Amino acid sequence: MKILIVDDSKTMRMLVKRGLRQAGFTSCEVVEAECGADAIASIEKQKPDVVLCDWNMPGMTGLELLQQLRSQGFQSTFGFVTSEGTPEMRSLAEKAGAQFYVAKPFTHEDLRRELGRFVA
Amino acid sequence: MTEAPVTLDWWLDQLQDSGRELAVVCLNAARCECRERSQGWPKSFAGSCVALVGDKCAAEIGICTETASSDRLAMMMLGFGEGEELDEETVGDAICELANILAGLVKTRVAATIPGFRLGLPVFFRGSMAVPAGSESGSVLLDVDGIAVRLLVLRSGSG
Repeated sequence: MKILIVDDSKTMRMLVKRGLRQAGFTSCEVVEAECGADAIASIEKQKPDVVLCDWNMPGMTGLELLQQLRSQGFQSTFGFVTSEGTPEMRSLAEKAGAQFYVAKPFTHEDLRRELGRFVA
Repeated sequence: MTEAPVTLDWWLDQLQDSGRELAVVCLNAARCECRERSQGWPKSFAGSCVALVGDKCAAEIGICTETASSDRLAMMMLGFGEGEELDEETVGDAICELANILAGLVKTRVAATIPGFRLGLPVFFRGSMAVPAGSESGSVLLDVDGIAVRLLVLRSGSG
């Protein structure tokens, strides 16, 4: 199982990786991307099973990335890990094809509950 | 819209509650107490701000500390222990991320009263910042496990 973390913040990528370990997803291979363009390149090369993506990033937003990927037939699991916690944003994410949504600040239990539905 | 009066004090309530959640969940703080609430911003500070942009109003949400305290906050956030060190870039990035999460929490809290805010990207800031005419600013000083953390809000327009 390969997980791609997309976030412009190195700190946040470190926190998500730590959260994944604490949540018990220790056998997953984790790869990282700093922005939407990097994510698209990484997805083509790495073929991740799950994408964990920030919402607000310089350049392409996480939502725009998801919309582009889905329009190109990307089928893998995609979820947001974001400080955007309003119902309005959750609804936008769901309509665009996100399967789960983790609002910051999150605990490893939050990651386990949401990702556990998709990661063995 | 609700009937809640949107005053600076109301904004400081949202900021304080959001700061407590940030301290407990994100920093694993055992203690978080409000030491002071005041109008205005510090004359000079180092920290990070995030814009909340709405159709009729806007706000800036920020967080600042002393330099040594920024290191400690970043280490708390990342779960680093005594003796471990973080480089300056990572500390700055961590403070920006704390401001980003804080602004997201504030946005969620105010959404029932002021819907439609868009969240900006965090900007690291060092120095003095003039409060624009027509704006109101205030701050909340929190004691987070012995670290003085000042949360900032600046509001303009009809919110």
